[in-house]
Amino acid sequence: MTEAELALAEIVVKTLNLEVAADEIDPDAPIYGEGLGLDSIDILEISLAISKQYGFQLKSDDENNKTIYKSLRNLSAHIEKSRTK
Amino acid sequence: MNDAAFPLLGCDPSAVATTVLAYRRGAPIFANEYLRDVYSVAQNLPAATYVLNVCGDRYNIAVLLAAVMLKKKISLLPPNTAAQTLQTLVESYGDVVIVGDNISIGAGNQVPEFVTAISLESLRTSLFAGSTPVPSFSGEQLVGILFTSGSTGEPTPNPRTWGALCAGVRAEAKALMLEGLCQEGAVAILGTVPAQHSYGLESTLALPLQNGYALSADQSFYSADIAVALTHMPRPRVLVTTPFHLKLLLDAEATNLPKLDLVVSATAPLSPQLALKAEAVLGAPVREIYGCTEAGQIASRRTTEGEAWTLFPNVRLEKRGDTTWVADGHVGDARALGDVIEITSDQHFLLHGRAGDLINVAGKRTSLAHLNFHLNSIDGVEDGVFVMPSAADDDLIVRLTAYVVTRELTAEQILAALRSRIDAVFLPRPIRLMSELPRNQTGKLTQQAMNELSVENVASESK
Repeated sequence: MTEAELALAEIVVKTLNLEVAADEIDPDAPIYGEGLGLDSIDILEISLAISKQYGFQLKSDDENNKTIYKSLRNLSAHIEKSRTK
Repeated sequence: MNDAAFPLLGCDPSAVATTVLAYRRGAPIFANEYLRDVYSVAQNLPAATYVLNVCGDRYNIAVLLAAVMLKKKISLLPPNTAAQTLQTLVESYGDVVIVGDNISIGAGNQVPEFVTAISLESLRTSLFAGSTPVPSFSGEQLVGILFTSGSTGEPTPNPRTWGALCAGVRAEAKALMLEGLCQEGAVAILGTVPAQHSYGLESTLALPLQNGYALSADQSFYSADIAVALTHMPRPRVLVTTPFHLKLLLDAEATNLPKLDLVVSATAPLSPQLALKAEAVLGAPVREIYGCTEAGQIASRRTTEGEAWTLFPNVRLEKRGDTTWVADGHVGDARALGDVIEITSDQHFLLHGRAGDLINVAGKRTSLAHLNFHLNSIDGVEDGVFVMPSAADDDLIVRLTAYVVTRELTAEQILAALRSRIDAVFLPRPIRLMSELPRNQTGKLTQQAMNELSVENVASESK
């Protein structure tokens, strides 16, 4: 896991009060549904944490939306591309 | 009174070419286009008695709903798109066709890929050639069937008649004082709740259609989506939402929120603090709606003016033992409410939380008995129970905890099994594996024993 991915994993674990350690999250497992097992409410809570931490807002009409949540790695890559802070 | 006929649209029938029915990314869709879509989809609908409406776009939901009524079929409005929910509904109703759109079906979308669904787009390919007048439907005709979770695990059907829906949202327009807003221009409504639920069906779909307002078809999932979709609609604009979405929206600092003219909230009580903040930031009054799937909406209040609720016109409450019943007005026959209610006058009451083992997470209702039924139906679960922790913050979502006795399953396996059985918002976080549950001699889990479990849970989490 890269440093950026680990930082994101820590945000996810902290925001959602998950019972796993950030470095135990498989960066290639899907975030939604199976894998990390988050639902749409979780995704909204994470999106708020991301906007505060990285200074940009997630949107539904982003053309990459379907791939973003395929894995923590994809979400992290999207953040690195879009962040303003 | 509800057997009177109501037209599909409340706007002037001679003005359908100039009345905006919906906005999609800022582009208006006029009422005459909507009518043509309704008649087109109706003529192409497969020959099944029931149509399971899993569309994601609110305009598409409205098209399919009306097309189904036009063909005297019945819509099934699923509480969620979990595989087991759809499968159970198809099995219980038999003669069912599932219709979705490109937001809900296809790779990576909400409806599981193995579920066979027809796309609404394919039903609209050949356009209806005849005239498309505004249809009227008898008040007794069913709009569709909404579902709540029953105590045995089966979705409980709640049929809604056209008359009850129309009379309800006309009363809602009065209660929300929308007539005053109409003086300033055509009202446009954006919803953040699914139109397949009672509140969404009423306030984001029937309310605009019956009163000649426009609805937003745009996706409004993230706070940024909501902000953009709101700016796509002219004023006066109304946001129909929940305490959870409202809190996220106000917390998202970078969002450029346009000024609103009214905020409507329902599904859970809104805290006065959040209501005050919303009124200040959004520049609009915040009004709450109270209702339930069985009876529809029945009361409203402006949160910043006090905690008492005002009943919709002609609606009446009555105590029978500990249970409060609602009747008359657009509700019609008496229906029991699942909340603890204190009647303070003929038109006012106070709300004191859910009765019995009913719970509400993110606006979705179920009972602990329903969840426990599913938990204990998993192979390998010897005993298990769901517990609702007490809320730390009114406006945030509280997650359930499950205590499970099992010798062969891991928490991940239990979660995966539950995922196919219950709505995602009720999935437990965390799952605690136990050697046994603290049942008393009669095999019951007392409230006290359960509270002690919760306290231990909190204590172990804060370590």
